[in-house]
Amino acid sequence: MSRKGLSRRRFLSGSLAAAAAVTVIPRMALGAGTPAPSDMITHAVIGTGGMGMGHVGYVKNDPIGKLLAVCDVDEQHLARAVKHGGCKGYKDFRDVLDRGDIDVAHVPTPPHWHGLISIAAAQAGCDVWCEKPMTRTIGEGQHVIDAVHRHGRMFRLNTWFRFHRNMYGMGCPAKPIKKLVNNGLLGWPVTMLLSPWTGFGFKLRQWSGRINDKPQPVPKHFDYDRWLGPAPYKPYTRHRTHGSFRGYWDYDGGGLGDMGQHYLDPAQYILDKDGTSPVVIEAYAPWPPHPDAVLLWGRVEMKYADGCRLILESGEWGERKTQGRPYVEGPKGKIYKGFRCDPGGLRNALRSLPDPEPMIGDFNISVKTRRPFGLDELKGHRSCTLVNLAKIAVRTGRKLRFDPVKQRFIGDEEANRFINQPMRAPWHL
Amino acid sequence: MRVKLQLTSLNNNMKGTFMRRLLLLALCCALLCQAGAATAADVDDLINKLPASSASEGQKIIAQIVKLGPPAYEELSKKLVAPGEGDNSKVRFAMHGLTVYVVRPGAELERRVYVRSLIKALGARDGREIKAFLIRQLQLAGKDDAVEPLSGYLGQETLCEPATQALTRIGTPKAAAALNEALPGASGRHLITIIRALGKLRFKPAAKDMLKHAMSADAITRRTALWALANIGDFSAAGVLKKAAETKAEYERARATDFYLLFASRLAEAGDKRACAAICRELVKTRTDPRENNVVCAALSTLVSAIGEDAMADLLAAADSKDKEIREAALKLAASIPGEAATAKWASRAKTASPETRAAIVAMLGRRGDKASQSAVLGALKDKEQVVRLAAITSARRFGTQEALTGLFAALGNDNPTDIKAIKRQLSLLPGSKVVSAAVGALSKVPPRSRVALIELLASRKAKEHVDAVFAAASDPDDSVRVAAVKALGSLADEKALPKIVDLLLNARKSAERAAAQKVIVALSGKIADPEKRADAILAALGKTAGEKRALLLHILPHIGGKNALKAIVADAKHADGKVREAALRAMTAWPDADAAPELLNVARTAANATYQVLALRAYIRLTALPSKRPASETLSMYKAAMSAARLPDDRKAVLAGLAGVKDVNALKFAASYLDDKDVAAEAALAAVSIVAPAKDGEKGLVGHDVEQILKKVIAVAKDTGIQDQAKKYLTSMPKSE
Repeated sequence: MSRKGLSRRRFLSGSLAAAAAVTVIPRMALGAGTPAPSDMITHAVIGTGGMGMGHVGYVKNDPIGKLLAVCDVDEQHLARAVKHGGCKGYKDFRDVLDRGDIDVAHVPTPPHWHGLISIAAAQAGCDVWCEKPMTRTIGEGQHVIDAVHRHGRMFRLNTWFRFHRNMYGMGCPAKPIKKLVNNGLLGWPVTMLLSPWTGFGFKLRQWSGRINDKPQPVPKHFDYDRWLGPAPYKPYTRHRTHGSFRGYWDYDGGGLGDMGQHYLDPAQYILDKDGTSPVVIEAYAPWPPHPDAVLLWGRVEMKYADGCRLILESGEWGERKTQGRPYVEGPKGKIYKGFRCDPGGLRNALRSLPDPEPMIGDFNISVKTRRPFGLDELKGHRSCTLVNLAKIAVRTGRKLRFDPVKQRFIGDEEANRFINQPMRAPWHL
Repeated sequence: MRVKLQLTSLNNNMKGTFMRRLLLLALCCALLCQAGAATAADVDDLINKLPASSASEGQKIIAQIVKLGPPAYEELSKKLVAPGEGDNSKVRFAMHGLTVYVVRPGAELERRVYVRSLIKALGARDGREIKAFLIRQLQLAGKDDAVEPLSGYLGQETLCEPATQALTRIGTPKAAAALNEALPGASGRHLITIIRALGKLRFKPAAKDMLKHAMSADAITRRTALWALANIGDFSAAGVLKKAAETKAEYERARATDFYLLFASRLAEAGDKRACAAICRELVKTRTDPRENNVVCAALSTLVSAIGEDAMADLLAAADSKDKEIREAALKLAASIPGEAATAKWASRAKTASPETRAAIVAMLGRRGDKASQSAVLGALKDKEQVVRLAAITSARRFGTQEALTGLFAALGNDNPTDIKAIKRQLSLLPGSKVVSAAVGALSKVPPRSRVALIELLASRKAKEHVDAVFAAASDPDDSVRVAAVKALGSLADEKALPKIVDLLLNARKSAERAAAQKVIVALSGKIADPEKRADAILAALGKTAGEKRALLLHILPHIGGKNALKAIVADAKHADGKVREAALRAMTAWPDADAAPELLNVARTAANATYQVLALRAYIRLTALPSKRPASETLSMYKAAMSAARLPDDRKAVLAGLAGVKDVNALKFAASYLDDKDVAAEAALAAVSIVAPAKDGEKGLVGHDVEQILKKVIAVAKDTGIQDQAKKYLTSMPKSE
């Protein structure tokens, strides 16, 4: 087995003599504040577009992170990342995984690659730091969970609003809202509204696809075939790829793909639904949908088995039914944008309520202790399922009934075709 | 439409190929008759309304196209153009809408008619992208009826991939057989595409032909065939998969090993659990390099999925691994094997395990959540190793039962600071009022350190209903308990309890207790709406106390404020008791607003005690400098009064420092009058340059002849070059006086 570089895995796996030789080096001998080799975590960033460069920054700013490899199918992106990251560049992620010295593989590619690369990374023994939305289909998410669990890997999904002190436009963290909701102070069931008026805009126009674009020649520095990977072949246009790929169903789901999981993950957390999914989903959108380009939708309503509801409204098409309504609404109380409560006394009750279960919010801790990250593959999959359910509802134009245990639509085999979508050879789950 | 509905209904009730075919023929005839008059204009009219403003509107339009039938479908497909050759977006909306519409539940006959039209169009139209579009519609709408035409494209360079995807999606034995027929003639990328599809469909008859491709020199062909063989799960592939898993190259080895485990799962699913277990155990045994820990984890996971509790011995052994990753994985898998027998084995294993492993087992038992687990976890609360006790504390909280609560409260009796901290943290996560009541009940039974933790728990949970218990704890014999109780009253008591807390202050035995009580009194007083009533409890007590206790009360008053409080301080500043007098004077110097200024000036002017005089003067200057709406002239008068009371150069410096904030020409002149005083010339110069400068950006500074002259004098007198430069810069930029 070829092994290069120095990683935590390599360090831990070295021969006893070698390990002994290294462990006698005192931390201080490495210079003040320098982590010991066994404390360092090695990283590779696969996909170095906009978000990918963000991930390069995460590693560069991590005192115990060491970036060993970056990878992209666009030579220009790759050159930029190599320069910034000061590490080796690769065009094929399989060559990155072949190094054998990567502790954490970052997957900030377009979403049609998230599932495949996360699975391959887990199989190669890497922990995975995956960009949102976690997967493009529900089926891919199930396979990621399986690979991560079977291989005993740690997984982090890169959205942070269940931890963050400010949950987008709400102007407050998720935790106090969760405390009020879960302790029944708003009554039950509750309805959550995600719309521009509660602080959550979906940017649908920004992320819409184009129809009738004229095919263009593929730039020489760009391996379009490898960029497409598992996605069906379609003639190249610049707009299908970097920076605007979200506008096409083959790669993502428009504004739902960009913002959906950022918004829906804390919603799922607040409702205490991390282990389940809605049972009824209905979308209000122009119909039929375009077969290729993601366009506009007005509203998506999802209902859980216990009657709790999630309503997503774009404000960019159709009626504006949720304008002026609160973020969370129950029979006994409401919480508006900016954590304004009705009745006002709800806030005073917060201190007497127990905190939610603690979560690990630092992936380095998960990697080192092997305890799951706060937003791991299970929770990430469930909140990404909300994104994927909404996409399917928009695409089918039908009221869908979903079995959250089997993760299949009930009585609608055609809708089930969206759960596992074929991939272009040689790619497979 | 009525004909269609009746036919649909009939179809639901009838069985038999003949009847269905007859029905389809009848439906086609009916639709053709209805659609006889369909024209390009009809179709154009309809598709121009797409996409519609709602699904129901859109579906109505699509239903009208369905009503027009195959001629309309043909018309639509004729309008398809390749990307970039014109706008056919309406056509694509319509055709995709038709695809989604006809596959709705209960519309089988509509689907068949549409699929026939798609197949016809596929044959009639040219162009790779147009054909691919039609195939993608068949991918969504096609069933066995689309297999034959689709299989015709399997040998075509550009359409093999979409046709294969469509056949894979259809996924019936007929579709798989069609793919298998194409396998021998396929090569290059087509071969990979077809192998992948057959693997996806788990088509066993393809396994033998695929074996040679699993040894191909081409890495992608080889890898795809290995995966396909593994997914199919035919035993004939065992040797080739095992060999591939032993390859040296990192990525190839990782993938092939995972395929080998997939193969093992397939064997188990087919009933050969022994063979599956043998593969898994072999991998656990042979993959000893820590870099392949993930393989051991995956093998154990596959083993548990296959043989369930029969894998207990393997998990128990893995729980002893020196590698944390493997231990954690084994225990995670253990939690998935239900039953009290399994729990008992783990509990028994814990007894002989190392402390770290024991802790991990206890954590796992907490996740199992059965009754037998609870008793083992509660037993571990008494373990001699802290790491085990800490795991047991977290696990016990997960049970959340009365027994677990009792166990946790009993563990507080150990008086171990780390345990107590952990128990308090876990108790604070338990919802409901039961834990709070239990904490109150335990207060009298646990050692002081634990009493402190329980009191802090009551405070963090705002358990106001138990404020009496906390008041009682404020008289605890232990110092730390009393301090914690007094602090907790800040969260639990209300302003009505102020007299009782004042009593606690007066009877406090330790300084920490007194400091805590003073803080609580200030905090609770602040909750009284009327500022003049905030000090009532203190003033009432003041009337009954003397000496040090009276001094204690006086110290709080500046933090509460109010006219009556100030009056009491002023009165006590003349008290016969020196300690009271000093406390009153110090309280006066700490007063928060300018109300105390006249009395402070009086003390500064008249006090015989130099310390009091200095303290009073400094406090007076501080209050004068506070933001206020007074005219500048009045503030200047106050500084002049302060200057007249100043006896020492340092006092004069303090006055000049305060004066620097008064943006007034007379203040400037007053400051300038000290430029010749050698003791304070530097401070006077600094005050002068500060006074002339604008207070903030956008405002103007002082100008005029006097300003010019004073700044020139500052430049001449000041020894500090920084001040000189500042003065020069201002002079240069200042408009010249007329």
